[in-house]
Amino acid sequence: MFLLDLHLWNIVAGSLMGGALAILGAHLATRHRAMQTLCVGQGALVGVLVGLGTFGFAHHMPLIMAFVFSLITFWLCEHIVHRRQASKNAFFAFLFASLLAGAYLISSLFPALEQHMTQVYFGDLATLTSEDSRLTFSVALLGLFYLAARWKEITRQSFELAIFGQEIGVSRAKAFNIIAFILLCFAIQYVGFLFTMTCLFLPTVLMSFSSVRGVSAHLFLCFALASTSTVTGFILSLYLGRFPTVPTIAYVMLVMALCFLAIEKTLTSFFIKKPGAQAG
Amino acid sequence: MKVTNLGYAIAGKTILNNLCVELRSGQLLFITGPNGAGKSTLLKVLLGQFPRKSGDIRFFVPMDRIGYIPQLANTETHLPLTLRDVLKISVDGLLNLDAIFKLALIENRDLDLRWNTASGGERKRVLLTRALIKDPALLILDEPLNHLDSDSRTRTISALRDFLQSPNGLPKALILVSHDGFSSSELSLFDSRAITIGGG
Repeated sequence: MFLLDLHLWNIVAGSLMGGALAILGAHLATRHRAMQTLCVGQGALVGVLVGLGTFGFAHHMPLIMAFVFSLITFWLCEHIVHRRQASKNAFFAFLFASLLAGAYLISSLFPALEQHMTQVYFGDLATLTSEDSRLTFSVALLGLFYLAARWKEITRQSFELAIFGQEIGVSRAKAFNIIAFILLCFAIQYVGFLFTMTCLFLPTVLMSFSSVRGVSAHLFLCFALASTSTVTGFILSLYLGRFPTVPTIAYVMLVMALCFLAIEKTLTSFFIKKPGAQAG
Repeated sequence: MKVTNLGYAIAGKTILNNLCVELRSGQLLFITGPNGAGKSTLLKVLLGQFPRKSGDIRFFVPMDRIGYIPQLANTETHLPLTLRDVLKISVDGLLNLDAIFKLALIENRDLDLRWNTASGGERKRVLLTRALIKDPALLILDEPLNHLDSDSRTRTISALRDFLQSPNGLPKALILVSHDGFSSSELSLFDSRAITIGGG
């Protein structure tokens, strides 16, 4: 109980951030921006490392540098990829590999960063300070509020970008891009790269195998899966000392989703078979 | 809409040269021509998505009263949207089902179909419904009749004719791109003007 009390804010903040990222990820995947998000996230991570290496541990510098580097990566993606639609994924793979190499180069220039880089990669959810937890909670809450309040508008944009490759009429995707950016940079800086990418894309990809219809149901399932598996994985890692927090959360998410899909499939086949059995 | 001496070129290649056309309320402007002639490009130039090289385009309706359905770039979406969702996200308030069924393009039983598993005809009809329920003054459609079976084609043409006849008395006009054209009996249903791109 003591461990749980100690990490209560971390669990609540992580759970809410996980849920917000899951809804954001569903829209990013629909807009064909998953690979781009991976690169922008990696750009933010390089920014965090540059911020830490250059300015030391001055509190907000890593976050500011994360914004700057992810903006540069985003700009590169937008301007180069739009001219080379056919080789989009190859370009993203190239960019990701370059940024990954850059991150390791920076960490070797500043040896004190090596430990921090591991933390930014694999997550430091359990080591968040109380202040950082509250900040993460607030940003996640604001992000969720925006995604919930504007869900129709955001879903319309995602749909039109997915099937037409453009928005019809005046583009209003800028506000969504800004919110996505803020959430992504905060998440990379405070809860780590692995947790961010896991919550962004695992729930929406796994829940796309579900037979549940409708956008609201899908988004709710993504939110619920990310939030509950963050809480469950976090608690599990606290009591099984050798299990690192974020990888545990990722595998709990996978197991929970597979259980849900298996139960759903069993129930569906049961209810579909029933009339046939009666007729027989 | 009035277009005067419109010109457009890309990478030194002239696509449109001195195009003049006028479209009045109740009329259909039918744009046809072979693949790659620049039919869709003309629509994008008209809508201001591509910068024109010369000429003038004047719309006598506000831009937010112009409905546009481009060609599909992809047929599937990652989000498991139903056809009801596609309509719901396109209107500000609640969905007016009576108004939707009055268009006779889709039926109640179609609404719970998934977008990803609906047929091409069902998708096109729901996209047209989506555009029509916003009550546009000018509707611009890029290849709305492609790959439609005869039932979907008849329903689409009938809905477009009803749109131009404007049951609420407001001025309506339609611009339609199609590479395979209308039959003469279909064309006789409309007060139409035609442009052939790339064919002289």
